[in-house]
Amino acid sequence: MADSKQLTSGAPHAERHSAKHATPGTYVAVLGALAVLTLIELIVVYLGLLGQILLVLIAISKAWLVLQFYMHLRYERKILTWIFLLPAIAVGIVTVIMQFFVT
Amino acid sequence: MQQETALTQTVSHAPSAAEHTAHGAEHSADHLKMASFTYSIENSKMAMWLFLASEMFLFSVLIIAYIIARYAYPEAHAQLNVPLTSINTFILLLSSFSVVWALSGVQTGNQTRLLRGLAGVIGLGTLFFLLMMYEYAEMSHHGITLAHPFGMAFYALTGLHGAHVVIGLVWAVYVFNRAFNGVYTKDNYWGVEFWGLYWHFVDVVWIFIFTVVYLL
Repeated sequence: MADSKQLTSGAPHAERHSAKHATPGTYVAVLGALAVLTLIELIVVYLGLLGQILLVLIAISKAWLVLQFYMHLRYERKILTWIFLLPAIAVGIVTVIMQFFVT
Repeated sequence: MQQETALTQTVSHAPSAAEHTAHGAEHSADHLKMASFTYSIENSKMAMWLFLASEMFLFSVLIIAYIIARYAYPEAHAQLNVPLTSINTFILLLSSFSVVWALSGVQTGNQTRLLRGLAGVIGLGTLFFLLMMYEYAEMSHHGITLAHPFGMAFYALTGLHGAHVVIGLVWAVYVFNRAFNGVYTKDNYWGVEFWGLYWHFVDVVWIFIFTVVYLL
């Protein structure tokens, strides 16, 4: 363990980031949040509330929770977040633009 | 404690560049081997994320095609079974939780939790796929087949996702087999972690498919 601690101090920044993890309690909390958000989605649909923008925002929130906590992006090097986020933003913009042509 | 264990997992294999300079050639052979192991994992992880990002483009093309078909054929969209798919959504979310439960098990040296978590994913993933097949049969019964323009867009998108689920399940069985044989330990679990990234991505894609295809 002493050896490990010694290495920790000298380990590259990126490796120290990837060494952290969420706790089981966090995993349970995220599952609860995902379930509640899905229920809200269903309530919004069946009651005919605010509609499309709210549903898309909830979907983005759910995906963000999975990416951050279950896929550990929160604890990884930031470059991995950007590798995923930039194409996601590009895809989102194209999809929104397409909406103007189909509706 | 968990973080400390995890730190040990990473750094015990990861002497930094600075240490290499300081110690010179004294331990070079062993250290280079260990550093190579760690950096190969870091590089593989980045490659995995690049792969997942490229997959996003693939799915986005099909999602846009679906949106076009959905507005062109609203009567076909009305045939979708939202209650059944909602249950399937909860099943897939639960499977993602099962993945991280298995991962946290192996990270703390709890092999039982690892095996139970993996078995949970295999069971839930199979159930998801079977319900999807039931939904397909139901859709075909309503006349929405591959020959229908809406059906073509619907089956292409959800079918590609289903194919990803099947690949993830086959991979899960492989991981389970290795876990059963004691390959993964709290110092070596990247095989579980990489498969987990893939499975979570399948979940993330489904989150958007559920909203765009079934709810909007």
